[in-house]
Amino acid sequence: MTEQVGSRVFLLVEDFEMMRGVLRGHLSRCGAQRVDAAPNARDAINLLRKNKYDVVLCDYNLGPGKNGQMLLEEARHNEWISPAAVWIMITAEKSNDMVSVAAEQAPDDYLLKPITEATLQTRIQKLMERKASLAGIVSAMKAYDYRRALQLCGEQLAQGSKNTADVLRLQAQLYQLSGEADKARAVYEAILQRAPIPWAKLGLARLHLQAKKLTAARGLLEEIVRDHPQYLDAYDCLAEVLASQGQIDRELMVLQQAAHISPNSAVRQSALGHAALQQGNRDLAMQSFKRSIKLSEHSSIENPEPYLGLARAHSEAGAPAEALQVIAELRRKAESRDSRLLARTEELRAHQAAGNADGVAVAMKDIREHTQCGAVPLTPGMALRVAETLMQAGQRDDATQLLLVVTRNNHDDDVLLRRVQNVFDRAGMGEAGRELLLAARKQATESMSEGVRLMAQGKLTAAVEAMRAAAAAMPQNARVLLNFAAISITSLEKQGWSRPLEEEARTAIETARTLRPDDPRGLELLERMAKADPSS
Amino acid sequence: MNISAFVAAAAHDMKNSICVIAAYLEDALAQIAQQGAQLPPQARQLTSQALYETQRVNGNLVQLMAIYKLDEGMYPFEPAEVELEEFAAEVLERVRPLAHIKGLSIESDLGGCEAVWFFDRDLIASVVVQALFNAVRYATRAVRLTLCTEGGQLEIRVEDDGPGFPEFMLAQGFPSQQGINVQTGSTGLGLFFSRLVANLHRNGERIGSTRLENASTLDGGRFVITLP
Repeated sequence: MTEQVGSRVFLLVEDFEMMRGVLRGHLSRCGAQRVDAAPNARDAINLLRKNKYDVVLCDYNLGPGKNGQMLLEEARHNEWISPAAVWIMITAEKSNDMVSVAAEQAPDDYLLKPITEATLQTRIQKLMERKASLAGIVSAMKAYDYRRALQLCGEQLAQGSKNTADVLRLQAQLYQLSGEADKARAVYEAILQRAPIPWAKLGLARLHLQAKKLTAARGLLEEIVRDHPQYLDAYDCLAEVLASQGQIDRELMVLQQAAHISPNSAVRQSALGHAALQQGNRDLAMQSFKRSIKLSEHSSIENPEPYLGLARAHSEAGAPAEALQVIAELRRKAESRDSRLLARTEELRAHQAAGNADGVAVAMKDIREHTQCGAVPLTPGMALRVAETLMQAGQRDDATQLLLVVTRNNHDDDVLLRRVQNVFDRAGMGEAGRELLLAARKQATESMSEGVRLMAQGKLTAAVEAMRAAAAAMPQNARVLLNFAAISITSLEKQGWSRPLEEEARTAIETARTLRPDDPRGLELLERMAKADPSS
Repeated sequence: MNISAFVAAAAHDMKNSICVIAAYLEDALAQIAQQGAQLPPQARQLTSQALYETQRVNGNLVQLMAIYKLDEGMYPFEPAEVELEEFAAEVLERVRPLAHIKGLSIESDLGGCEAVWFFDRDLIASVVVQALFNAVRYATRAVRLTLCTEGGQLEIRVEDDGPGFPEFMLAQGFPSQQGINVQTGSTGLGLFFSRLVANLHRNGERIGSTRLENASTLDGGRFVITLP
């Protein structure tokens, strides 16, 4: 143990000087040789930027400014700490507000004062082992290599891992991500047979939601919320179920409850604001957005949502001048392209509401520059948001163009296409939209089916040719790109190796993987190509 | 700022101070021991008393804050899987320095228990640590912690070889609400807290419980908390 600890780099963040001394003493007697210490979040950030820490011991209460949780979120967001680093939150006492964070934002452990040397030693040891044993699975998961991750889970479970619960949790998530809902359900149900573990209940509820079994999902979620009122992920899921059931007043209530339990979460306040706005409760919306903006002051993580929401609420209340003021503030702060683009679309709405034609023209010019061909493509979700706002601001042609691009590039994604149709419906263009969608979809399928037909006839060279043409016509369509790569690989396997074709296939796969990082087929094709490569 | 916020902030601050005092005391004792020096018996007695008192203050603060927060619906009750061996080692570590000064032996028996059980680690640790400190206070030679699982229940027993619980305590049982008993100096807080915490733990129809008895295998008192 001492050897392991000796080579690790520790950071101690604690505002109470004497306590810092006590903990430092504990750590050095546990064998730690490199221990940096900071009395507040600001100093801690400076250290975290400069050094790579293996273990961070951080007090939750750090006086004025950021607390330990905010510091952790920022450190993870900016990747100042590696995913393998251990973060232990120290606290004198527990409260809802402290532990009510989404699972992926939680520290690795909480330690309650008084902390004995022996406890510190066993916990650090255990957490380092846990992180190390899960590191392989987690990094495969991050690289969207679900097959590899599942294989590692299987190996660990067969060996009888010390962290069985963690491995099972990851395994269930991975099954879910790779579309094997039945296997995921089996894992959750087996866990729940032994004990009423809340995360397993939540996992099961999410599966029900996905399968549109809303009543079953709701039953489970209401049970979790009753038994574990601080488990916020359950509220989010329950709100989603209620929204799907059309019970928006109850949805709002649940989000309000969650915001009440965790009043210092900027993201949560903003989500409440959006739900309130949707329901026409403008006062609550404005109040929540303002609170969210206030809470974000201490964070350097960019979050444009409360600004966008507040601006929209002002526009809808007939106060475009206030809306423009909020947008100006957002544009001062926004760094990412997406945030700036969303600010522009909201600005467009405000100008429209004010009847300011010049303002509309300026905003539109900027939006076109960001969205038209040549620019880096928007994610489908972003494109839909921008299109929706453009529709509402009366810019139907630009909105339609954007929606058709999304359709051509994602002609196989039914869920997304339904959302596209919804945008048309809400703009009162349901019928026209349906026809446009159908045409765009047909165009995409036809250019691909030519290649598939030739392939079936055994005309491999011609099939590659046809698929290449389809990929050139739809360079952002992941399905088309992957099909082109698949046919190319078949040609490589059967008609002899060609480096240029191999490169072409590889580029297509890489592009498809940036477009749809969670699609496992890209990785499968890369593996298939590597196996067939005669030089390997 | 309302008064309860002041109380919470002050309790938080006091807790930090008391933890530092306890850590300094333990550290000083460890250094004396390292140098092979012996404390005079009188100093030994006083130090152990001081350590015991810091633990009492800390325990009271923890329990007061937890009760207040549970009452307000602000306490995060978080049952999760707990490795029992590690749990036992951690709670025993808390009383070891005091037991060492008093020359007591600490025994633990996990022979009849499963590896993992499902409960709120921090709340149960707080109950068991308080019971252990109590046992250490009244024991003459030994304290024993036993964990065993049978019939779908986990039983945690804390036993000592002291004089046992006085009759009136056994008769009174666990207070639901009770003021300070001037004669014994006991506020009943610890017992009230342990019952409250036990009752929070449910599994289906079954519910956690606590009991006091003079049926210790060491011939002294025995505190038992049972978790479904």
